[in-house]
This record gives sequence, C-alpha cells and structure tokens, in this order.
Amino acid sequence: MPIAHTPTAVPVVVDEAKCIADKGCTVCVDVCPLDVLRISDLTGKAYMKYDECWYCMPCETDCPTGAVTVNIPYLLR
Amino acid sequence: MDEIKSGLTEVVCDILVIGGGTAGPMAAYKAKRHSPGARVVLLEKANVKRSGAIAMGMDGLNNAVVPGYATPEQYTKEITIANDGICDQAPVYKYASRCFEIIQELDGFGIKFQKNENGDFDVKKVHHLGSYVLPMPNGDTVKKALYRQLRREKVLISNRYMATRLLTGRDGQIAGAIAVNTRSAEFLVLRARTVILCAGAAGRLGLPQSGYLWGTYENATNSGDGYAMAYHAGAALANLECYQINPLIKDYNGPACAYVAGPFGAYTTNSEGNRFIECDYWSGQMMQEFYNELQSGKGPVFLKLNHLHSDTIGKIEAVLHQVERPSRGRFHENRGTNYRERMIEMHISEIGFCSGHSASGVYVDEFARTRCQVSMRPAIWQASRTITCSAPSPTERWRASTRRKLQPTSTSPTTTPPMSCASSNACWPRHDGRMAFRLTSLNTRRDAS
Ligand SMILES: Cc1cc2nc3c(=O)[nH]c(=O)nc-3n(C[C@H](O)[C@H](O)[C@H](O)COP(=O)(O)OP(=O)(O)OC[C@H]3O[C@@H](n4cnc5c(N)ncnc54)[C@H](O)[C@@H]3O)c2cc1C
Ligand code: SF4
Ligand code: SF4
Repeated sequence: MPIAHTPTAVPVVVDEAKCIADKGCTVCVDVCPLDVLRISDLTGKAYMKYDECWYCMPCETDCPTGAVTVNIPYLLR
Repeated sequence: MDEIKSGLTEVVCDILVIGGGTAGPMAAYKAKRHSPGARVVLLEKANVKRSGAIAMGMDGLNNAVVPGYATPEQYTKEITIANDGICDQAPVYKYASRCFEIIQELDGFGIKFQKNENGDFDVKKVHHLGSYVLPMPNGDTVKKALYRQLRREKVLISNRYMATRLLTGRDGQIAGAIAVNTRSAEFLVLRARTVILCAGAAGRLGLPQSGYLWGTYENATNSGDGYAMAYHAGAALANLECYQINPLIKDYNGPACAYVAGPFGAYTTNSEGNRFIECDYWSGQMMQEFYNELQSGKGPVFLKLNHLHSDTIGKIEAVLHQVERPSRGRFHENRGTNYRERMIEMHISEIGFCSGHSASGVYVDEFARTRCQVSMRPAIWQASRTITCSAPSPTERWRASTRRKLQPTSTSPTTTPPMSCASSNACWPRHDGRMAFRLTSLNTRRDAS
C-alpha cells in the first residue's frame, strides 16, 4: 500500500476541531472496512493514512461528533 | 481482537466462521444458538460492525420468497432462467423453501420488512416472472442488528484477521485455518472442527471503468480469498462461467438501483427515451440487452426518473442516499445531476463473481456442504454463496449443517464441553450410503435415533 507521508489532498477529511480522538475515540478507524484511517501521533486526531477508499461512508455516519467528511474526488465535471 | 488474547498464536475452537459480512454473523449466531457450549469464532478481515457488501445496509431483500406471492419452485425457475441455466438448483430450491421463516426471524431482530395496509409483507415485482423484492424501511440497521445478536450469544469475534489458508489434516479433512493480522502481520493458527466459509464474493477481478482499483462495485475486501482457500483445500468451484456485470450509474460504481426506483415507476431507457429492457432484474438476458443497446448507436443508456413527482423522487433518494452506497447522493451533488431534471447516464460495471445474483462460487449441495474431502467428512460449509444476496440462506444452511451431533473425543484438540445439539438425524441426507461411515469415522457421532 502506498503510504501518504506528506500532506496531500485525500478524499476523507477530518475536522480536527471536532475530532475527539485525543479523548480516546477511535470509532472511524475501527469501522472502516478498508482500514485506511489512523489516529495521528502528531496531532492526536484521526486522518486518512491510505488513499484507498471504497467510498462507503461508515466513518462519516458513525463518527459521534460529525467530524468526518467523505468526498468523491474522481470523475466529477 | 475482541476476546481472544493477543499474542496467542494458536486458537482452538469448535466452529470457525471465516468472514463476518452478512452470512458469517448469521452462521455464527445460529451455531451458538444451537450449541451454546460450543466455542464459535468469527474471523473478519475488516470489523464485523461494518463489514461486507452491505456495510451500510440494504434497501430491500431481493430474494424474498413469501407465501402468497411466490413458491420455491417459481423462484428456482426464475433464478435458473436469470443465470442462463448456469446454476445448481438444489441449493437454490432449499434456500427458497426456508426463506420465509428466516425473514420472520430477522423481523424479530428488529430488521423491519415493509408491510402493506393489511399487515402482509409488501413484496414488489421486479423480476421477470414473479415477485420477490421486499423493501426494508430500516435496512440501514441490518449490521447493527446482527452485531447485537452476536454480542448476546457471546460469539468470539476476531476482527482484522484475514484467513489465508485452510488447514487440512493428514487424511485431508479440514482442521482449521491460518490467518494473518492485517495491521501487525502477526500469524494466527486456528484449529477448528468445522469451518464455515463466508468470505463473500470475488469482486476485484475486473478493473472498474474509472481505473480506480478500490472503486469496485462489490465490497473491495471481497477479493475471492474464500474461493481460493476452498479450492486449495480440495473443494470444487461451480458456475463461474456465470460471472456478473451490473448496470450502474456511469462513473459512480454503485448499484443503478432499478430495483428501488422501478416499483416507483422509474425505468431504464436508451438515448431516444425508449425502454429497451424487458425486465430490470439482473439476468444474462438483461445484460445482453444493455450491452447491445450500448453498441447499437442508440446509447448511452439512462435511468429515467424525471417523469416522476418530486415527492416520489424524494422517497427514492431517501433510500438510495442512505443505504448500500450512500456516497451516491454526494456524487450527484458534485456532478450537478438531479433525478428531477434529467435522465441519469448509466454504464456497466467491471466483471466480478456473484455480487448477489449469479449462483456461482464454491460448489455446495443443498446442505451447504462443499466437495472438500467428501470421502472423509464434509467439513467446510460455504455459506456465502447466497443466490441473490442476503442473510437468509446462511441461516438455512447452518440449520442443515448442525443436524448431526458433534462430540469431542479424546483425540479432539478442543477443551470445551460437548456440544449439545438437540437434533435428530432423520433429516440428515442419506442419498449417499457412505454418509454414516464418514460421520462416525471422524470425531462426530450421529444420534442413535
Ligand atoms: C453495493 C451492494 C449492494 C447490495 N444491495 C443489496 C440489497 O439491497 N438487497 C439484497 O438483497 N442484496 C444486496 N446486495 C447483495 C448482498 O449484499 C450480498 O449478496 C450479501 O451481502 C452477501 O453476503 P456474504 O456474507 O456472502 O458476503 P459479505 O457480506 O460481503 O461478507 C464477506 C465478508 O468476508 C470478509 N472476508 C473476505 N475474505 C476474508 C478472509 N480471507 N478472511 C477473513 N474475512 C474475509 C469480508 O471482509 C466481508 O466482510 C448488494 C451487494 C452490493 C455489493
Ligand atoms: S470517529 Fe470522529 S471523533 Fe472519533 S476519532 Fe474518528 S473523527 Fe475523531
Ligand atoms: S468511506 Fe469507507 S473506505 Fe473510505 S475511509 Fe470511510 S469507511 Fe473507510
């Protein structure tokens, strides 16, 4: 899997102000079927580590604070 | 990993279920209900809470065989025709005959199926001949409801472990599986007396039109591992020539959902606005008609809803943008397409095996037994080869598979107490005279009845 080390635009974005991963939440990381989300050591917040999304949206639906947004970046006019 | 201690490299259980999508949780639940003393492990590559083809739920049951609307015979005929005859009728028929009681059971879990004003199930006609589509008003809760049952029955759930090989004993009988942790690469050996394989379809055979490898129609974790493992362990594969291509929204690799929109009056048209498909339900004939139209100069092909009332479209959107692939609403939003304004362009998906319709996969008989070492013990059960999806068939298959009494013997690796299957062997298949030998020769004993 290609690992994103540098900040690039990824389809799944987390609003760090809303994310409560620093209080122990890992919901989005847990539910993602493709396991592409992680909690950042740097910021203590969730982020998309692997850009390999099925665009299925459990991460967004299950996040208790509404911090996750799934964008569909490809093939839009 | 939920309850299996980490660091442990070997796990011993009575029943190992591989794959925790739809069929797997049902199989594990049924096993545990049937034999509360048994150690049942459910192994899942992702997380059982949100895994499999319907991680976000389903809009309706596409293969509901409800008395008064359809008979098992009709349904079997329907599927045989849809699959161009490439299908094993015995398991399809068995599924159809047990379907209704499973619908009722799922209804009891709180998964609601639509009822009409008389309180009867509100089955819709989408297929060629009969009516088998039963809408699910709270279909988004399917996974949650199944998960609740698993917790209640204390099934051991092992998430983020991917099975890579089935283990066989010296005599060829199934003895368990090897799995690898998808995060730590730690290996796990699972010794099991019975393995139920529910690893879903093989959805990543073809490259989606977008060129994006993870944007498959089928759940991207269903990569055919189950087929490969079963095959390597000696099981047969069946009907793979009946692969599946699905109609979908162009550039958005999600279901086109004529099944949802059809009963509301939507349909598939060519660029001239004319219908060209006889029946929107998936079949070899329908896909041929679709392909022909694309090739004929009358393409592209569209999903037509713009003749419907805005409120009706609102109802359809409430389903389509909520379950299955809810990012579809976002796709239309970003594209600036709206069902109300104009027809939505459709296309066809990549090739995959069995995203719910074709009766292909690991060969099983009507009791969900594979051909793995038939001469010894039919020990792997493939529950995932559901015909048109959904939970019901594994249930029925599990029931069939527990109709024998399992008892650990001194040579058995397990330490759990004997399983108490209060079953009679009267229904155990006897079409083959060697069955009794097989069962008694292997740590399994039949009832004396
Ligand atoms: C987008 C979509 C929408 C659908 N909508 C409907 C609908 O509305 N109505 C309907 O009736 N049918 C629908 N279907 C069909 C139906 O959902 C499926 O047929 C059904 O869910 C299949 O259940 P399953 O348990 O066999 O597979 P799945 O539910 O896909 O589960 C397979 C599981 O096995 C796991 N797995 C795979 N390999 C391994 C391994 N090596 N080790 C461990 N775990 C593994 C996967 O991660 C997955 O969780 C839909 C299918 C798709 C793709
Ligand atoms: S689910 Fe929401 S709050 Fe929890 S870690 Fe993920 S983004 Fe943060
Ligand atoms: S949309 Fe699905 S695959 Fe993508 S990050 Fe969210 S849960 Fe994971």
